[in-house]
Amino acid sequence: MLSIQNITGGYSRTSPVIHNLSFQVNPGETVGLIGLNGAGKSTTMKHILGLLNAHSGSITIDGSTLSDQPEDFRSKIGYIPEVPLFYPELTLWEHLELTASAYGLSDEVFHKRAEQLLKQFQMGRARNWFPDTFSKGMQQKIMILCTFLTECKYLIVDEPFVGLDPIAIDELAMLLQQRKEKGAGILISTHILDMAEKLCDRYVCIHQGNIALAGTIQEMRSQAKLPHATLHELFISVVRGDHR
Amino acid sequence: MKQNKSLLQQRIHTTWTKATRIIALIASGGGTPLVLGILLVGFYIAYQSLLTGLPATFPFDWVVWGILTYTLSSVEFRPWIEKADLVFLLPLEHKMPAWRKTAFLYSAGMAMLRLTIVLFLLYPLYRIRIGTSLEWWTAISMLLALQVWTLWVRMMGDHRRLQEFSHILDQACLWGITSFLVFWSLHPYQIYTVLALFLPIAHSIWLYKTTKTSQMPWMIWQKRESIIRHRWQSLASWFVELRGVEPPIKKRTWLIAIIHRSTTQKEPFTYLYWRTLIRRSDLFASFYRIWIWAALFVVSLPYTWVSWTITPFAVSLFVLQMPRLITQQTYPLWVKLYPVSARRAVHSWASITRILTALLGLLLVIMPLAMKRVSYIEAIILLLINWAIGFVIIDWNKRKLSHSNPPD
Repeated sequence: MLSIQNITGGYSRTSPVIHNLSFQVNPGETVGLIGLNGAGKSTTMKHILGLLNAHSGSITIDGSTLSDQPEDFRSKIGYIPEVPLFYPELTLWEHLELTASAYGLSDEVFHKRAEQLLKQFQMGRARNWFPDTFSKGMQQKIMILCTFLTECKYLIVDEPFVGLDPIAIDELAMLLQQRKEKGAGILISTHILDMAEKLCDRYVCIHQGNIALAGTIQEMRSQAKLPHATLHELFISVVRGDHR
Repeated sequence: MKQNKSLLQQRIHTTWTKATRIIALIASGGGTPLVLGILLVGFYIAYQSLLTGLPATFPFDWVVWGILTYTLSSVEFRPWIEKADLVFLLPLEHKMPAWRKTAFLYSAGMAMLRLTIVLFLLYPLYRIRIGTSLEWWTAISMLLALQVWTLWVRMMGDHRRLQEFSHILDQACLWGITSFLVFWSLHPYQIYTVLALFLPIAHSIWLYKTTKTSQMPWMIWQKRESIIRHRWQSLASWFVELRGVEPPIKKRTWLIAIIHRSTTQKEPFTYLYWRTLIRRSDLFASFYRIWIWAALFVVSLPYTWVSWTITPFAVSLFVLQMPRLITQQTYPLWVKLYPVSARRAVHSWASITRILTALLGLLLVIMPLAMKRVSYIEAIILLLINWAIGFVIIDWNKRKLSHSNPPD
């Protein structure tokens, strides 16, 4: 289980961005992290990944923290960032090879998965191209391909649908669903609430760095005292402060 | 158009203001002017030795011809087009000829300055072995005019670069005509005169006709500008630290293929660092620059002690720069997220540096051996010294890197 316990943190010690957040992501479930721009979603993800140090609280994966067992912790997490991050000096295929080598995949498994993913996301013709010649959507596909190449137990997915073409959106949604069925825990941040409703089992709605609502859609309806509200209406009520 | 032109002038002014500041910073630094001074004196002594040491049968005129042909043909038109211009200046394309004219005048001035420096360096060689002063000054005036023509051909050729065959043909014509004209300038025989004038005129007419309706090569010029900028920044970064400089990516497919076949693909940082080194880092250029520089000294200065001091110094110089592959190269945050320890990253760095040091040490010994500055036994001892010095510095740096922060 990915467990976030009482995390307070941000980019400077004097002004934390997130306050006392606690939630879990269990194997085989998808948790949607929703909130306005600047609510603290990406900051929360950066804390989970160990890119930022929390002021207080703890983050554990299956009971161990990043400082306890760094290699084990990292090997269990896959990350799709909001903005494509790539090595300008590596081709698409070399990105895949590097990822396979970092996560210790065998040649056989690597080739089988890489070819399948390239076909699925229609990126076969671009395998030997450098990513700075790609469109933003294609660059985002590199992130997706590299992450799904590994068999990480937990996926941290930050705004994955931005810039993707409709086929890629469908393929990504299907891959996320397949990974969940195989037992992966997924934490996904998105503004596309229709997609969140399709993919997520539970939600954590963050507003101004605090958890405003959390749970299944039913649980959030009762927390907000809006028994028939859709996810969209719940979200609007949170950002307008109606339910407080 | 006035606005466009003033934007270009402002851009040139800003660039030169920055360049002047960097030059002042380098000049005020303690060690750099001293090292440069020593290098200049060394170069002067080496040049003197070369002039007196080479036999009279050495083909001096062919060397001068080759250097001048390269200098004239490899000239670059600097377009001053930046990325944002592809958005903001694109609607003003019909007003851009004035921009192009100013950029051409600037490029011509710089090209003639470069040619003058080359001619100044070649003058002693020419005077001693080839021709008289009068012939030299005649040649200079013709070569300067030729330089403006080659620059114009380069600029016009950019309009045709999208067609691969046309580009190859343009290159062939430029190099062919230039080499012919340089030869004629150095040996102005009557018989060639008509041909010499006819060729550039015919080529210019053909080029003008084929490009007069073509659009401005925005993308090519933007890329060229970024390469030119990076080249200067890279040169400056030898002496002062410059942040935020993004180098262009060089594919170097054949070299990557060799590395791919001869090194392990299982170590992620070895995989990454080789590719970064070859395609993106200045360190690769450092490797062959140091080698060429040391080889020139060994060839030019016919003393055994030069080989014994220059080659270990060159190895040290290269190895001392190598930690930049980890510390100064910018990598995306993936390197922090991989389930691979920082210790393995340093280990990969050390293994790459050892291979390069061994290769550089060997290459550096070949030249003194070929020039008979050292015997076979001495060459082996020199090779062992080079390797020993290099490996000691690598181990020292490895310990330092292991104790510092993980790579980012």
